[in-house]
Amino acid sequence: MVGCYAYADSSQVIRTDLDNELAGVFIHEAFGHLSEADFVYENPQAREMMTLGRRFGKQVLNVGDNGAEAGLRGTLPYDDEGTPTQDTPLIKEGILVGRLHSRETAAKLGEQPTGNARAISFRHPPIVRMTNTYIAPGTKGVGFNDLISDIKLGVYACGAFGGQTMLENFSFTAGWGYMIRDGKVAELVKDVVLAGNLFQTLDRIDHIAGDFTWNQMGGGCGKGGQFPLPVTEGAPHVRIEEALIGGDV
Amino acid sequence: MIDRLLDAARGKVDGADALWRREEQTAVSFESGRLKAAGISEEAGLNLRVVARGRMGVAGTTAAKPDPKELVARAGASAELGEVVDLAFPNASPHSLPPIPTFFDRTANASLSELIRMGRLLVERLARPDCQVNVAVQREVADTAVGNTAGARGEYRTTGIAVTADITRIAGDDVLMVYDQYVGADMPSDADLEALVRSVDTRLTAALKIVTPPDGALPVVFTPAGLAAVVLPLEQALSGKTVLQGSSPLPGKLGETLFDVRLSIIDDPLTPGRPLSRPVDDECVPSRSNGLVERGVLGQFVYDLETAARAKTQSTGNGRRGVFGKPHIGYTNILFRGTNGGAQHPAPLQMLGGGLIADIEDGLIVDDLIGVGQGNVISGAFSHPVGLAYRVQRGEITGRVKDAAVAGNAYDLLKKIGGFGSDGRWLGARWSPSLLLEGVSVARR
Repeated sequence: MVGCYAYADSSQVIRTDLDNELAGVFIHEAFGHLSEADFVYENPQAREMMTLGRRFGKQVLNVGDNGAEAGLRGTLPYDDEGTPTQDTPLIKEGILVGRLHSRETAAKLGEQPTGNARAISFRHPPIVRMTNTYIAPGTKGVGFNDLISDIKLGVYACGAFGGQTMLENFSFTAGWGYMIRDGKVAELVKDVVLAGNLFQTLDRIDHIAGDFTWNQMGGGCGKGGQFPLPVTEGAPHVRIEEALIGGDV
Repeated sequence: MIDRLLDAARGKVDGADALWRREEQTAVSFESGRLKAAGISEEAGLNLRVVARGRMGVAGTTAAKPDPKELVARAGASAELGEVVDLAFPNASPHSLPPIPTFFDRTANASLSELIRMGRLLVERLARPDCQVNVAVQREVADTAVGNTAGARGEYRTTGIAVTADITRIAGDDVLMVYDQYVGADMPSDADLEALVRSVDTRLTAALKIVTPPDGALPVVFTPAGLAAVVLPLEQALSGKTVLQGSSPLPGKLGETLFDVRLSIIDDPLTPGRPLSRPVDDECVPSRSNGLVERGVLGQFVYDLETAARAKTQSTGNGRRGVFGKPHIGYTNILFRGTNGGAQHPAPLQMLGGGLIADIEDGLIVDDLIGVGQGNVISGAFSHPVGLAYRVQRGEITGRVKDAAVAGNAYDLLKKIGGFGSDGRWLGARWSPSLLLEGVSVARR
């Protein structure tokens, strides 16, 4: 068995808990890249798909990108076009409320630049990039154990090897994982790769814990031949009602 | 410059080798059908490695007028903290280097306006209603010189051109992305560009209809582009570095039949017309073709000078280095070849599936996977959502599948290959046909 070897069946659609680190990678891939306005600014169909005001998740979901948060790898006083960085809300109570801009994309769409134009070095032009992307904490005092107490069978996916997006569909790879059985963390499993769909997976986040942390991982983000750009992701523990975990028969 | 640098190093250190490279890149890009950017960049740099009192040190510079003494002093300082290694610098004479065409005047002389015209032609040919077309053309001309204190020298010029085209089609909430490329040392012919257009067009047209994915252990055709997840574990495991580190699962298996007896995998720096071909590697080792897997048998691992010294073997000519940092192992052109293993139903080059789908009752063609390279790659295990895949039913492509994932183990799947396609082609630095692999796990939401 490969994908999630505690199973005898290849097709697993299962309740999944993500730890803080993987939840951060998840939101970067699942939503962060979609909110980069260079993807929509010259594409009327993409603009329609990403219309501000559209619902992407349940009320519990709040997402943003904050280049002005002190002391993180994606933190900058100004972006590479001189725009001051800021905390940009992207999803508020499940509704799409914002996107990330360079001066060019902001001008084209008649919106304000957000301080997200970044170049990896003098060899490249600044393009729209994330800085420190986060899922905001849920209810204060709600912890991991509260998220799993009513899960009969699930997976606790931990750590992150990374992720990749093709916008609608994306992957995110856990470093390791555990089965959740009858509300408790059970045996260790490995090679947990989750397959996501923008319009399904975000909407299946049904509980978010209050235990937010920023995850200062190494590596970085790649886009348009510019890699590795330092970014940070932050998240609390997050619960997804259903997620597809690929596996080998 | 190399000679002055090596002269400066003589007497100061036990031995040294160096690389000088100058690259000029001309790039044009079209975004959403419009010319977005065009530019030329030039960079030159010098990399020096020394062995001093048995320890290795490195230094590099992109200074316009590098000072050899200063570079030797920096490499010497680096060696004081460097690893102990018994490096043997090769002493081949330049006359023994294999003759290999790496420089094409047509590519080197192509003007910016010619490159723009080529990009514009592709944009026009690929234009579709409600589709965004991006095209990039990048031409590179490079001069390389390598040498060492044992007397070996190598010098050569290379050209390379990459033409990439991608189409994004968004219909409602459905996002479809199709991509292809031409990469070569010589300029693409009209027929090459036409093949690129047909390839994108064929895959886009077949993807317009969305069908339910199958699930279970199924026959899956991996196109040359879709094969990356299967190839990557082998590339990692065949590297002498992972063998030394103990992370490769293959040591001790040289000479054993590990794969389908029709499969050969060759690392070949001598293929004419490829941008990574060269007469000598970046450590002065003359280039040669290396049979990594020959008719299913594990033939050899690839080494650079350092890993070869540690493994007490010879470098295979796979040393690569940049301006900064020490040399490391790098593949050149990887060829996946089948022997007597062509498709049962030979297909035109642009036909999806390479002639391998006629006998498939229910299965997939995988053209792109998401997240390849993330995870425990060298173990051979892979599990990825599909980026672009088609369902095959009763020998026909019935449409595109979404929200499905494929998984398997590369080493196991390559033990018995269901068929080699008749659609062999270059994709970047890799040549392969489509491969039909049996019993690949397919999961769906």
